[in-house]
Amino acid sequence: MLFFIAWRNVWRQRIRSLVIIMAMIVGVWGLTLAIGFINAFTDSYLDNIVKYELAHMQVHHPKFKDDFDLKYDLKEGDVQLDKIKQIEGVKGVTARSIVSAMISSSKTASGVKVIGIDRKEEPTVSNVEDLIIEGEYLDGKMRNPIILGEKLAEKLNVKIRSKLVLTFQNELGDITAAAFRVNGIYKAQSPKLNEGSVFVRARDIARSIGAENKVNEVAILLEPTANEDSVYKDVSNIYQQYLVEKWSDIAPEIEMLRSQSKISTTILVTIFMLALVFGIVNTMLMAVLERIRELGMLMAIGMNKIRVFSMILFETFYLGLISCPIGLFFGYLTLSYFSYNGFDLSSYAKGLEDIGYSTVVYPTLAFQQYAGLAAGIFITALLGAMYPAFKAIRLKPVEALNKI
Amino acid sequence: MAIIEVIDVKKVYNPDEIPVEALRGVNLQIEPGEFTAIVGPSGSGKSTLLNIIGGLDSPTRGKILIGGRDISEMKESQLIDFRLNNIGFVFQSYNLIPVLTAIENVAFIMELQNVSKKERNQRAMELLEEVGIAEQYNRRPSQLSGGQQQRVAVARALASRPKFILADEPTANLDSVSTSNLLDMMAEMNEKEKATFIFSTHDQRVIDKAKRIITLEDGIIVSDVVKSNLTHVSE
Ligand SMILES: Nc1ncnc2c1ncn2[C@@H]1O[C@H](COP(=O)(O)OP(=O)(O)O)[C@@H](O)[C@H]1O
Ligand SMILES: [Mg+2]
Repeated sequence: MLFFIAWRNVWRQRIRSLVIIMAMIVGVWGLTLAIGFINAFTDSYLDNIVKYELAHMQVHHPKFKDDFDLKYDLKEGDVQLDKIKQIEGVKGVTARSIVSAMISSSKTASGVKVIGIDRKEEPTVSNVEDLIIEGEYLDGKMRNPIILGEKLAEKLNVKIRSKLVLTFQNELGDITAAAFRVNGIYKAQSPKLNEGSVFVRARDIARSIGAENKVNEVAILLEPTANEDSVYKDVSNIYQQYLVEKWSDIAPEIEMLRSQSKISTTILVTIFMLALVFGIVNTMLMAVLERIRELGMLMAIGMNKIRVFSMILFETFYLGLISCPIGLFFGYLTLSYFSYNGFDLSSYAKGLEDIGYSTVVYPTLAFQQYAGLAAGIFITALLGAMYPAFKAIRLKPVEALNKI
Repeated sequence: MAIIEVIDVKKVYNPDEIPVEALRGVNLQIEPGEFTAIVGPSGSGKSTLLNIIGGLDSPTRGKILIGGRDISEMKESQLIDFRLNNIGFVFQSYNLIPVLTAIENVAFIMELQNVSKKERNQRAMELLEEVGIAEQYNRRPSQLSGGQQQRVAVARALASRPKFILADEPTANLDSVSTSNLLDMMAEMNEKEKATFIFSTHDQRVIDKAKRIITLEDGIIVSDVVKSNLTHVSE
C-alpha cells in the first residue's frame, strides 16, 4: 500500500507534480539531444579523418615522421599487401609514395605534401574520390594528372586543366621539376587536406624524379566490426622492422577531441543533474512541509521511520519513472530523425567546415548512454529526495500534529 | 491488573527558558474496559497527560507502565512499534490519510502490522459497519463529514487491536448531534468490543457519557469519580 499511497500523493498537487515532471522531460530530452550532437560532431570529425586522411592504420619507416622522403621507404619485398589483405577485419590496404614538394602556379607557390597513390588500390582505403566537386579523380588520358583541394586551388588561382609545376628534391639532393595538370578539385573538411596536400599517381612521381617506384606508406582500412587491437598485432608481426601506428596514435588531435567531447558531456550532465537535485529538493520539501501534520499523525499511530522515509523516496521515484522514459523517448525520436536525415548546420555555422567538421551531422546516442542517463537521473533524484525525507522522519509526532 | 499505571509523573516544558509545569505529580491507574474522561479547563494538562500515556511525549519525571512495561525507558523507534501494536489514537483532527478511502485508512494500520490482505479488508469492513459508516467505505476523508471522519478514526484505532484507545478532544470540531452520536458509538464499542477508551474533553455532554471522570487542574488530579456507584476513588 506504501507504493499506492506514494503514487496518490504524487497527484495531490497535480500542477506542482506536472511542472517538475515537464521540467524533467524537457531537461532529459534536451540533454539527450545535446549529448547526441556532441557525439555526432566527434564522430563526424573522426570519421573524416579515417575516411580521407589516415585510414585506421599506417606503416612507415621509423624515420619517416621526421622527413617525408622516399629515402625512408618500405623495401619492395616488405610491402606484402597480399598478406595484409588476408588478415581478418582488414577491408582495404594500399601503398603510397609521399614526398614534400613546392607547388607553383603562374600566380604563386606553396609547400605541399604530395601523396602518390596507386590508382587501383587507393579507393579500397580512402574516399577522397567522393569529395571531388569539379573535374574527376586521377583518371583520364591527361599526362601527370593532379587533384587538389578547393582552398589550395583558390590560393594558386587554378582551374581544371590548369598547369602546375611540382618541384621535388630527388634522392641525390638535386632539384627536379615536373608539370602536372589539374584533373580534379575536391572539397575536404580537413584543412590539412584542403590546403596542404595534393594527390597524384605514384608512378608519375617516380617518373618525374627519374627513379623507380618506391613506397613509404602503407595504409590499412578496417571493417567496422574489426577488432583493432588484434589486427594491429597481426600487422605488427608482418612489419617487424617498421613502425605500425593506429590512427588515434598518429593524430594527436584525436585524443584531444575525444577528451574535449567527454568534458563537454560531463559539464552538460553535471549542470542537468544539479538542476535536477534542486528541482527535486524543492518539490519534495514542499510536499513534506505542507503535510507535516499528516506525517506526525502517521508516526503517532505507528508508521515507522523506514516506511515514512521510503514513502517520500517512492514519490520521488515516481516522478522519475514518469518523466525519464518520456524524456528519453522524445530524445530518441528526435535523434532518430536527425540520425536518419542528418542535421544541416551549414546555415548556422559557416566556420565549422574550415576547422574540419562536417556541416551535416548525424547525432546518435549509444544504448549505454541512454541507460547511463536513466540510471543517473534516478540516482540523482533519489539523492535529492534524501534531504526532504530526513526532514520528514525527524519530525516529532506531537509537535507535528500541533503545527498550525 | 491495571493496563496503565501513571506513577508520579511530572512534565515541565521549556525547562531552560520559561519553565511551564504542565503536570505536577500525577498518579493514575486505568483498568481494562474503562470508558474514562479526562476533564478540566483549557491548559490544565489533559493533552500533556494523554500524550505521555500514549508514548508521544516523555515525562520529565515519573514512570508510565503499560501492561507492566515502562515506556519512558523506550527509544523512539521502539516506541513507534509499541504504539502501533498497543495503543489506538483518535486525534481532534487530521486523523486520516487524505489519499486513502475510509476502508483503506482502516486497513492501512493493519498493513503496518503485517496482517494479511484478506483479513485486513474483512476486518476493516466489519469495523466500518460497527461504527456505522459502511455505506461510505469507498469515500475519501474530504468526502466525509467531520463526524464520519471521527468514526473512521475510531474504526482505525480499533483495527489494530490495541490495549486501549486514547482520544484527545475527539469531539472538539463536531456539532452537538455528531458529538452525541460519536460518544454513543464509542460507548457501544466499549461494551461490545470490550475496548478501553480514555478521552479528554471539556464538553459537559461528553462528560456525562463517561463511566469514570478524572478532573485535572493545573497539572494535578483534583477528583476521580467512578460513575456507576458514584464513589470517589481518590481525592
Ligand atoms: N509544547 C509546549 N511547550 C510549552 N508549553 C506547553 C506545550 N504544550 C503545552 N504547554 C503548556 O502546558 C500546559 C498544559 O497544556 P495542555 O496539556 O495542552 O492542556 P490542555 O490539553 O488541558 O488544554 C499549558 O499551560 C500549556 O500552555
Ligand atoms: Mg488539549
